[in-house]
Amino acid sequence: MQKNKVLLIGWDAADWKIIWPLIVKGQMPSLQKMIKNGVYGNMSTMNPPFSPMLWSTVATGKTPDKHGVMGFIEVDASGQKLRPVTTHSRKTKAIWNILHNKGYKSNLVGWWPSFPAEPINGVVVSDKFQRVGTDPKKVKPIQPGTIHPEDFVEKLKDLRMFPWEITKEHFLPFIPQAGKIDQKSKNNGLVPFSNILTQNVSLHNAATNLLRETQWDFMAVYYDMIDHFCHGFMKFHPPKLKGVNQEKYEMYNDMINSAYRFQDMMLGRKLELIDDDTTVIVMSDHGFESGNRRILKMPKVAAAPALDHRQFGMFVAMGPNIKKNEKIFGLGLIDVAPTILHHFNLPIGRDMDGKVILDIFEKTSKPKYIDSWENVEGDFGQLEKETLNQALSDDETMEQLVELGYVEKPDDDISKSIFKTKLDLKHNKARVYLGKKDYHTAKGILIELMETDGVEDFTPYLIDLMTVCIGLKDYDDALKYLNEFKQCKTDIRYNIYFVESEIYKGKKQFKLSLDVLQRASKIKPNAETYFRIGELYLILLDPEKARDYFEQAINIEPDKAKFHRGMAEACYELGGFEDAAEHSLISIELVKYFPAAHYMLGKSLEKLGDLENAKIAYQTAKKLRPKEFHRADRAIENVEEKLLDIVSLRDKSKGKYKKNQITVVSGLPRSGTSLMMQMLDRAGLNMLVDDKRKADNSNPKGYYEYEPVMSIHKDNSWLGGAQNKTVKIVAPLLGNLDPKYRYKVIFMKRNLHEVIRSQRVMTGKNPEVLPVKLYNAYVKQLENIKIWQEKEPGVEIVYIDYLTLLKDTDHQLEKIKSLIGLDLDFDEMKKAIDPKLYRNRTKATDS
Amino acid sequence: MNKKLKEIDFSNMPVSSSLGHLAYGDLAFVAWRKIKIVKNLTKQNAKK
Repeated sequence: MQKNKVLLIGWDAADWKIIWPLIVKGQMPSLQKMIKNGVYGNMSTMNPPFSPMLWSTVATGKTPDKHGVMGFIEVDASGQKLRPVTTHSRKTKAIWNILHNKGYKSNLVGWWPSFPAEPINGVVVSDKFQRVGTDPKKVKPIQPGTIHPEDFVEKLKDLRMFPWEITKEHFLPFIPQAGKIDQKSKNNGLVPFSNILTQNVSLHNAATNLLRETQWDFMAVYYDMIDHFCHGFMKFHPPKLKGVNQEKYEMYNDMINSAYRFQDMMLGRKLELIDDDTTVIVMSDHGFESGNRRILKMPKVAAAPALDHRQFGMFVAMGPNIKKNEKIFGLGLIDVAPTILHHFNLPIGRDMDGKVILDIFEKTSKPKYIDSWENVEGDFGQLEKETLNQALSDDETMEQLVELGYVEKPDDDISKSIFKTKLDLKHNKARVYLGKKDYHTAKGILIELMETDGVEDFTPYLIDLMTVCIGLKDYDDALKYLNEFKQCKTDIRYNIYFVESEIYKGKKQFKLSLDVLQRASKIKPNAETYFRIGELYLILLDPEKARDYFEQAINIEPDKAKFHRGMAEACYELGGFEDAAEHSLISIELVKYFPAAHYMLGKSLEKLGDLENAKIAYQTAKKLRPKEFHRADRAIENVEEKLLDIVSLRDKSKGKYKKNQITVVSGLPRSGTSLMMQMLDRAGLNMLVDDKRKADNSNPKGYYEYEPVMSIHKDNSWLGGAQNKTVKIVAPLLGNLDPKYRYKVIFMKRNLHEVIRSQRVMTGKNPEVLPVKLYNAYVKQLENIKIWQEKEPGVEIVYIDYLTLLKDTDHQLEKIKSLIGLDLDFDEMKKAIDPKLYRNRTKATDS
Repeated sequence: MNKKLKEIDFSNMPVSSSLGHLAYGDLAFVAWRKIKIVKNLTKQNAKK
């Protein structure tokens, strides 16, 4: 008997949002048993969330651009016909091919796509097995290629259930009021119900037979029942949506729950048929909207029903080396194949996109790797390359895909449908690259599509082009595509509020961005809009309003991690550190690998004095996303210093020289920054300056500037070379400092009237006029500096008043020395002060 | 498969079957088909 077996069960579209309430009621006892004795978690899907692409990713550990399955249908080898995707569409090896090469036996039942069956060591019941047609007079025989090996055709052929075999005992648990259905009506729900149920029973029959009768090491069984029932009947699931027919709601409102219950019953039987040494995985490829985001009327776009697919599916695993009753985080479809290969102690291809989910195992070993399984020669149980003569067609599957709305009914003029399918597949490929954040490749494909002759509607490409440009932070191009989009005529009603507001946000036109979202919230209020408004209010430094919007978002969708993270930040800004910590924790509970939430938790705990845990939270943020959370390094240093302070009972954090620190002299223009630079130069510090701006009457001793500072908002990469040096950066540019460095900021303050007066003298304007708008803008900028410093753990700041520096120099120099943490030559520094320079004083300061 | 498992006797399965039977898989399904054939034969014989 084989040991260490793996049974992988696919439940297309299964979603925790439906499962948990049923488990609470004890209506999914088999899955509940697996959770109790195993691990569970969310399964993150990929874009576009089209099932054949996703299940091929599960089987290969690779993204669709590599495995080649790009949608539901494709043009066949003859180039003259459309057909559902087949095994030939997959260009890379699946788990069962690799296991075959290594001498393992695999059984495969109903995998999408798996027709024609591959000649592997084991049994393949392909996804054509269950397609029996709907006419009792035309029962289809099992076609060649449906089952491998051929001798299993005889054993399995009578396990197919036909739709006309359904009895009232089968459908009443799903539709208790089925007696009221007019069966003569063309669109009665019993027809699709019968087809879906019997197809899944056929596959289940084959699976239970193989579980009982064959020896295997790996077995994969796929069910589409939940997905197909959801597409047909989710609109009738409680709570009743406005616009849903009451009679139909009452008829079908238990359909979805019944589908899950029946799926669980089938799981129960399979669990009975396995040994204790078998590892079982139950997983879905995506979730399914079941709340107020359900779409009642699908737009006429390619694969529209997939718009109802939710980002997170489900994952449960149970077995001898699997942890017990533990939640697992960060799972993705690409991780399944590497994890199964690791389970069999086989190496993972470095060209696979996923990782081994080591977290699920009790005892772990180090994963082994090879460059690629694709380069390994030998027998992998694969099909011969398809030839023109063998071009396959599959009318039943095509019909069902059309019925489900995934595929448009082919046009009478087949060339039109072929042209459209080619465009859709290419568009899907662009979306795959978009999902992988390979924006340049995605953009290239989308531009090719835009330039293709004969395209009737460019809007789907324009929307993705806008998203690509946002990803590339190329907001000018994004705006160009937005304007082009607005000129396009299309039958589809798109919601582009988020894209539009994101473009304005990227261009730092926050008010415009807010206007777009405010409009959206009035037309169709939803949680995501409120969340985005909240985020904008955080940027606009209005945490109170931000908090109100986050609260509204949480009220509608309490299980969204990012909503709680936003709320945590708003609470933090308002000084509610306990609330901030609590919302951060809720956020982490929902999505463990959420670096921004860990960082916010660190900040909140630091304020609450829980330094040890603050340090752990910062470390987690840094570990999860090292590139984005440079500032976590600084925060950790600060906490460590504070922890030392507690031991030594003295303040060490100030006055300590920090390795590679950058000394920044800042302030509003004409507040004494050049003077301070001169003083620090004389003090013996290493200055980062160039001589591009020459001394003049306004600054007779020079400006001490460095030209790249002027474009720091576009390029701050030069900051690495500023380490251990002193550089002048005016106040409005401070926000562009890279948080990965440590900064000591000497911020020059001067009476604002004096600053403006001095600026006006310098630019030849009347110094006696005070521009109120400019004055208010400066006040706001100074407030922002405080907020910025509070947010950046790598920044220490000391404020030096220009007038006080002239009058009480020694004391001010001590403050500067204490900040920088180095010995400074005070005598030399004082020589830089020329009281004659203090010219643009106001009457107020004179007095 | 699990050797400790006791298979069920389906001889008393009603011809209308049940979801439980469908969930049980191939064994119950094959048994049900047989019962349906016997029942049909009986019906036909009765008609004669």
